[in-house]
Amino acid sequence: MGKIPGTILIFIITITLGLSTGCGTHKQYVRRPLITEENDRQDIPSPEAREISLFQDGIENIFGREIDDYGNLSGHMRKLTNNHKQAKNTNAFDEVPNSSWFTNRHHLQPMSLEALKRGPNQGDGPDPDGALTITGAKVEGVSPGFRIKDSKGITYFVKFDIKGFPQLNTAAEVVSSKFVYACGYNVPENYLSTLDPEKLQIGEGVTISDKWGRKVPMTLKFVKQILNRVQANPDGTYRIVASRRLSGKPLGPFRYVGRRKDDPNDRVNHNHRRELRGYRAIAAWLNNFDTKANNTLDMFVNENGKHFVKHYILDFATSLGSGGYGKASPSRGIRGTLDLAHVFKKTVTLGLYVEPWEKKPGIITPAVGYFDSDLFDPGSYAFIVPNPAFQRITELDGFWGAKIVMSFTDEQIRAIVNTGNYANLEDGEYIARTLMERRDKTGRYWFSKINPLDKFIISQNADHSITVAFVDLAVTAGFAKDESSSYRHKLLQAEKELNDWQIVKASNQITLDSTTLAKATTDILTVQIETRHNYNNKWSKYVKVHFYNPGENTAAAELVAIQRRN
Amino acid sequence: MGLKWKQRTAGVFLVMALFWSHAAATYAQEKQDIPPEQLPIEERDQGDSFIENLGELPGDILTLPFTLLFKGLGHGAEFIDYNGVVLRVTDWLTSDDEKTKLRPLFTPPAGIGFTFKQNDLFKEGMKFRATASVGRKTRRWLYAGIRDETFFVPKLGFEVTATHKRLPDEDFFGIGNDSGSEFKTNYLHRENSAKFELISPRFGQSLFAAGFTYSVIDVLPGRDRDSVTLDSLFSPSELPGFFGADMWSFKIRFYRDTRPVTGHPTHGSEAFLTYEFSRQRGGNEFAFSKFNIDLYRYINLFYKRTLVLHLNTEITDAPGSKHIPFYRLAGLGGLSSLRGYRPVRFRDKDLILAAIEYRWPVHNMAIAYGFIEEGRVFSDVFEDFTLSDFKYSYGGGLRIRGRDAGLIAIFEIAKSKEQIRFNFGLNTELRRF
Repeated sequence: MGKIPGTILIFIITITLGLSTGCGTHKQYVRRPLITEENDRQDIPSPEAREISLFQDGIENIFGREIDDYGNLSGHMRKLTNNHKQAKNTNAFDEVPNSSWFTNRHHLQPMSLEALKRGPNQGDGPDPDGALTITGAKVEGVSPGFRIKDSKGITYFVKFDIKGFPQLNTAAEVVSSKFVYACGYNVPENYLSTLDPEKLQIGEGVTISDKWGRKVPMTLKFVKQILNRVQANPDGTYRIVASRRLSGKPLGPFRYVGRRKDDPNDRVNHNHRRELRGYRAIAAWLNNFDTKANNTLDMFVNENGKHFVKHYILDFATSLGSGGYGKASPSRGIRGTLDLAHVFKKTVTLGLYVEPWEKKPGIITPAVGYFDSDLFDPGSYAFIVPNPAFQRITELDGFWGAKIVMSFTDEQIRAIVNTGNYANLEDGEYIARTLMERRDKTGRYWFSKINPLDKFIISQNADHSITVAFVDLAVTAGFAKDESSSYRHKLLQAEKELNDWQIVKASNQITLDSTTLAKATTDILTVQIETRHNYNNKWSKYVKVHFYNPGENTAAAELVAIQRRN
Repeated sequence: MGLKWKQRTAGVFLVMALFWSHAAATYAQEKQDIPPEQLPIEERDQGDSFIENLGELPGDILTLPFTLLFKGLGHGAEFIDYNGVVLRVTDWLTSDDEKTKLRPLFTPPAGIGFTFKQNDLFKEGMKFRATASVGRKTRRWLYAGIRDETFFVPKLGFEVTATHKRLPDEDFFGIGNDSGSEFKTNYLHRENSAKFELISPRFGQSLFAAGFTYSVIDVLPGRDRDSVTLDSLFSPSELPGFFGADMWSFKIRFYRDTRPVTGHPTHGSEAFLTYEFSRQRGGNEFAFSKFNIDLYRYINLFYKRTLVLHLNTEITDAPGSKHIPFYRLAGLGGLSSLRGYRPVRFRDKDLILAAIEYRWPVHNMAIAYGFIEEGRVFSDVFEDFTLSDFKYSYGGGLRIRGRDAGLIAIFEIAKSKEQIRFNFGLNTELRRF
């Protein structure tokens, strides 16, 4: 072997050993308060507002990061050794602390039907009786809109349905934003409303950018020009979605990678944030295929006397069956903007290879657009432009996202979808049914990757034995049968086994007897649990439950940490 | 004391390195005592490990040129985006009501230029088209036309056009299917023409037209320095039209288009039937009649995989002792016929061409295609017809289309017995009404 290959080999071995030993490092969990809040809402001076170029972001995400990943040796080694870089903002229960990015909502504390239907909305939307004053407009592009101020002085951004597709855009915007809000993200208040053009008036000194990029006075001609391009109701009014202006100072979009350098509260690289990685499972479920940076917004807000940056996800017109400027293509979620490997495959097979989406009808109904569940694959869902946080997703992140998706019941999904006010009830029912089917696919996919035990409760019994109760998410979702599910467990102390595997069947709890517990010399112990379901009939990856064993003490047994095998 | 200063320095560095690594290891161990997920996020180490960074180093070095390239492209795109260059240019080239459009254009015969479209020029339904393109060796192609299909009555309108062509390096290999490539000569074709036609649209998809064209054609020495001029191999007496001619033409056309879209039609057909009678003005040497059928049939095989059948036949006949100028003979070769040969590689009175093209989508904006085509020219197709000695070419390419399904660009490679040709076309369909 020559010098150079030998050097490379040594280099690779070093990296592999380095990464794998890092993986095997034993962590000693201690009794500490659970981190439920991220300290990222400290008072800071306002960062600079910035814009992100759509093209630059697209080129960097489609080409730049792909090339970067190809050359990332440690990344390849991590893949080979299944030692993926995990999210860096999770707590000991493998959940996400509340932050300026995310608030734990429905999946941890189920929201009422009313709260789910209300979503982020605090009011009733634009005042329907008073005049609506146009304070700005967007004429360029295919999806036009206005900025208006209602009689109460509240500013809204108004979007319409595209001609020929009644309810498509507006319903997708309202329904998806409510789902995303319930999932825990910051979204704007979106209200379905009706706009009567008779009540529109142009504000004083309102300008608009013309085709040359020059500011020119807003005129009725522009208003008519915009209204001519959108779907009108039979009575001449327009169905709109009015998005209430977010409070605070807009700072421009956030990127799904890196950090905002002028925000001292922004400590975790965005592509290593669990809620941004895990959003992949949620966005795929909702068919929100366009998650580029420009569909986000950072706001410099003042809450509880502190000024900090709050991060919002916006623009859900590219979700469900809506493609933003009409119906979504059946290829959405299956093919990104530039899937060169697939272009090559289709080229060399001379078109004989027909993709399943090509066999689909182009549209379900004008109000639904195109939205399906049978072609939906949660694992390979492709976004229109690669999202750097989604590309870093691990099974743990996907599992976390899937838990949130699975937290919506059929009834809750129907209730939220009905807020889209579909004129034809069958359209709403189709959307709801498709979301349910996609939800189940999401759960099946991610729950099969990780041991799906969750919601652990530790309690000590009178004989000093410990009971570990849990919920098997695969069973509660109906993916696995309770009576044929088995769980094997063993007790560990600092990775040292204190007993052999014990197996229990069809139970949602295990008991650690006091004799085995008495062998331990420390009060922090670990029970390692593996699960076997009827659908694959093999033992799953482990979940380790670290707990405090009070022994003879009077203190209560306590859950310390949950550690899942990726 | 016997140690040299280099050894002493190395020793000091070694001790320092050991001390540093021990300190680092101790610090790391302390930090590892508590798993990061139990620490507040602000206390967690967010950076990558030394091993991690080391692992990324070779890849970073290898991919640096590409990273810089795409960074540069990204910043270029950012500049274009922030300054609204694309938006401004597109908007600048399109009127508010989208009735007026200006677009770039490229075709091998015409060169590079612009095409201008104006709908509803003086009245609703009146269209104006103009094209100006230039190329190497003072190549010029100027065209302007007005068309109103309902100008006189709802089913009767007119089309009037004016064309100026200056094609400085047209090839001529002689007349006949056997004309050898060794007889390649070059001439400059200059033509000014004006046309007036009455047109009558029928059934929404068909159109009849009849009218006159007057053209003034000059044939001059070619500008291609790599080939000989026309007069070095052919004499005026043996080549009709050697100096050009002024001609009147009467033309009747029928056109039928049942394609649903223009860029990638998956079904429907396009048919051109033309009869033309031309006579020389200011002389008795040239007169001829020409009949042309050009058919395209699009068959959807499965899921937008489309078979395109193309049949073209042209028959030219000169009455009595009259002649046909060589540049008005039927021609084979170039972008629309026998793509693997030079433009108008073969000339004679009649021609037959048959082509099969298979198109399949490879991306929502790109269609790949492969084709094979066979054709030949005849001095009299009814007397000399034979199935032998047909020329063929084959190849494939990519058709890039826009969001509205209109064709934007063609990249093509075509092979014939004589050469391999790379063809490129931009907005080739825009010139048509």
